[in-house]
Amino acid sequence: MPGVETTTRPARAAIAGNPNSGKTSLFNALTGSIHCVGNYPGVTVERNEGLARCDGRTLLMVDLPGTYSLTAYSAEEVVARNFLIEEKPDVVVDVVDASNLERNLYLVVQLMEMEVPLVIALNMVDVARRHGKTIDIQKMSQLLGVPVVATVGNKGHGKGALLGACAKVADGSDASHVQRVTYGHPLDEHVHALADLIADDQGLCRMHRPRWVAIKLIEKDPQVAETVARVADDSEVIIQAAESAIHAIETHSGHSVQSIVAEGRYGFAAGIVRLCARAPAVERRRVTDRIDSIVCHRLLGLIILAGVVYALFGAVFKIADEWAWLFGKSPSEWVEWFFEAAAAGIGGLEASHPMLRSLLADGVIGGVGGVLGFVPLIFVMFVFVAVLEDTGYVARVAFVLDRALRAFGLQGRSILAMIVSGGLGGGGCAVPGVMATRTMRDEKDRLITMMVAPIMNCGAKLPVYLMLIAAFFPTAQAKVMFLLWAVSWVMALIAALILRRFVIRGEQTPFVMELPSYHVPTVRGVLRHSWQRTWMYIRKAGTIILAISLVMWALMYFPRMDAGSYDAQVAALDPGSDSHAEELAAIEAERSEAQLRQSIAGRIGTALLPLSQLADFDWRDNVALVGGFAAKEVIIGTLGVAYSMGDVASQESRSLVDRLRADEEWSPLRAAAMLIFVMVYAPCMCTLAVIRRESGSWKWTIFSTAYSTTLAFVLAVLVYNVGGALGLGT
Amino acid sequence: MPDETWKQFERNPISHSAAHHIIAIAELRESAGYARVSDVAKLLHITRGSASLTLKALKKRGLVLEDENRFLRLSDTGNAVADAVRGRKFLLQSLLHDVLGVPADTAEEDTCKIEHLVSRETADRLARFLRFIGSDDERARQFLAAWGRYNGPGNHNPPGCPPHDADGLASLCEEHPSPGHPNGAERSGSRPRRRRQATPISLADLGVGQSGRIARVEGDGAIRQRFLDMGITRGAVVRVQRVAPLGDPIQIAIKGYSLAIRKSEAKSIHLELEVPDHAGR
Repeated sequence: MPGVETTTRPARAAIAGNPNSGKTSLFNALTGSIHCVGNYPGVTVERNEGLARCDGRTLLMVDLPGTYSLTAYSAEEVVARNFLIEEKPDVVVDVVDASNLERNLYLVVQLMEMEVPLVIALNMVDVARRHGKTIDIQKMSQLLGVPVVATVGNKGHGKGALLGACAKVADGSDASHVQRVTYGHPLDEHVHALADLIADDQGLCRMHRPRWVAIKLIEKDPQVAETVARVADDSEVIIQAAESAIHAIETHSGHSVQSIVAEGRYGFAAGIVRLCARAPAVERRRVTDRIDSIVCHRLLGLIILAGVVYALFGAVFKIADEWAWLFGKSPSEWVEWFFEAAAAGIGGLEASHPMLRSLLADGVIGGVGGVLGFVPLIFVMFVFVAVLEDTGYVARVAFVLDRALRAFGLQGRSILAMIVSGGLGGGGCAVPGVMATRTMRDEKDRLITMMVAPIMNCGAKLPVYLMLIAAFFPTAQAKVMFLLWAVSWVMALIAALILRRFVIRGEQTPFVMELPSYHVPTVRGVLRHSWQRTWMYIRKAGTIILAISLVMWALMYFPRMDAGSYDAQVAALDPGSDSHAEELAAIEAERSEAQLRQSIAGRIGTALLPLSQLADFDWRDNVALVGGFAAKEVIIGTLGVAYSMGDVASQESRSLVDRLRADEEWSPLRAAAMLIFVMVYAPCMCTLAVIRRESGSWKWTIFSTAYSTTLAFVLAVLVYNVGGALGLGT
Repeated sequence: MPDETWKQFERNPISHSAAHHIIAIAELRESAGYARVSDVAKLLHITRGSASLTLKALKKRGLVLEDENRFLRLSDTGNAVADAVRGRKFLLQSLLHDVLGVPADTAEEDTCKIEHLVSRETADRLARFLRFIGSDDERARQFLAAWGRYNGPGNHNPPGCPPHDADGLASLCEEHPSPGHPNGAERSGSRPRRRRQATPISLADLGVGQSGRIARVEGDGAIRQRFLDMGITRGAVVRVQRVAPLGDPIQIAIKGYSLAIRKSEAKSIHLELEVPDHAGR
């Protein structure tokens, strides 16, 4: 029978594990390539799938979110647990950090409680060995009744053995039998008795293992209690029996059932560690401690943090400069490349189908090409952020900054959300940032973080910054970027403080966060990580940004005006005169601008002029910024379309950077106002959709748009006028 | 080694909660003259349903009887159990509080945990021992005085001053000691809700490099669950590794790894005793 199954569909393996257990790198090593990136149904926790091949068999690997436990208290844990219950994978691989065995075994115990077909990947055995730990794998496998395979995820060691073990468990040819977890007296007896009672219930047993339901009921798990009440035929009896068990345990021990259950699990884990692992009398986990004593030092810690961020920008721009052949001219290179590739087609269109030519050249190339031009720089930025994440430094940033953030009504989890949103200097995204707030239990803290996280410099804002900086602050690129990073934090903190003071008042909630050991990241892992994110950026450019660019193009192209007067002017020119070309160009430019101005977008932009003039934004900027509501990348695309349309007469293709620099109406001060506005104003549509879902209220979604846009506008006006009064940047 | 103790406990036929139910019935019948399921539930501060479940089991075992009017009474065996448990409770409390100087509420708590598990032989020996200690024998006085000096200022009973209830001790030889409290069962039944006073030291009080053993974790459901999941459980040893640059949070070592936690949260983690350095791994 198993043979039949393998031919119909691949066996499915779920990969579970603690955060920082090297789960992701092991997943990458196993699958080689991402098969599918998506979300778990109903929630927005990222779901990665990939195919792994072993001896002609194919396994579909599903990466579960990293969790410490399987309670009903956080979205990730619920997702992981529901996946195991509802989708019933053929095998579950629990990635266990061998250098942190006891804590990692806590999750193993919970998976054993669920009685899923389990394989343990004892990961990072090299690190454990360096710490002087030895682990008797065979004994461990025997005691748990689970196949245990030693692996080194980031080097791909143990891959074959792990897949072999998975295949064996999946098709049922593995002989080992998951052992029953014992918690000690009196918990064991109560679990046993309650499980017996539950085992009689048909409906419940179809969904869950009786013992798991018993332990979860005793643990007062709200989700399971709800399921029992809904599904069980005689739910009252079961719930009452659970209550009396809880009462008996609490009276017997004098402690809460939750702590008794947790202690039972940890007791089991400690027993396994005692029997299977040997650690040196003096710990050798010194390197991490030594680095921490510098990185988290009272004085040095903050200096190092500022230094790291500054160095990051410096290095990014340095590398970008080295790549000038790719970066500096890249938007135009895209255009050239495209023209060369499609020269015949578009060249012929020029006369016969001017609209199609405009659509391709201005809409597609101007919009998407502009976004794609920043790919190299974005990639470099992602590489640096990936290095910081993979080493374990990001957790230290949260540790160092927590106290400061708390003063502004935020907390440790907010730091993670802000960093995910781009708080380490760009390359983030507010969508996962807003989603990262899920781990925060307090609604108020969560709301505030959701409101301010989009202010961080996300990956989509970067091209706008880079373009404006390249155009107007070419001599101080890294410095301005650093300043923008600092300003984004200041703005977010001030916004948070105001919100906490006047809008969302209340107490703050706890902060418990693992500080993982430092790791030397592997080149492969970092590149892979960065490439995945860059690829998402490129994909976005090819889909959402393309669609919006086309819409923006249409808004700028229609309605067509009557061009008769300009044609007459052209006809009146003397083709033989010396200045013919120049005059022709001047007329063409005038015509394009007139056309743009009276287009739908132009009218919207013009209508906003009375307001936007206060910050020196012209109608083109307005159009671009309105487009930015959809996605921030659109700003650059739309500016590209707007300026290239006003520039059709000039046959040489110039990058937007050059165009803006040459434009007399643009000044560094206007660029600065624009920068601050782009930083703070409304979150993009994707982010708003997530805010809507996460906050569950339109009120807060609309509020986040309204407050940030108002704040951004006030700031931009301030920057422009105060700057102007001080005589800066003219 | 703890496994063996558990096994011993398992052989003992009376569970902790069963003992409470039996004593509740005995006391209700002594004070009110009758006992119904709802009275037992009320006395023990539990739901009627859960009292009913336990009582059903006791009825099956023949310890509790129910007449046609649904009034409960104890069988002869049940009465014997009730007397034995109450007697042992008194013995244990006397030993812990009066002789060893354990504070009264702790003594009561601990007694509650073991009263139903003490064998008859131990109870007899204990009674004999207490009778000896409470007697006028010179050696007993010397013993108490020596113990008092050794035990130091923590002892609530100054040396030379015998247990304050000397008469009670003297009367211990009787098989039926007077019940400890008129509503003893109720008090012990509600004990989990009546938390002990905060232990003097919490995790937030430790300096860098100091360590301690976790005695108790306070806090509401979700937060405590998080602590528990991260390995902050009773009996675990924690060491403070460092303090963040701005004075908060702190970095602690527990179960072989590092955890960042704010001082305000560390306050809800109570420590039992200090242990030598390097134990926090």
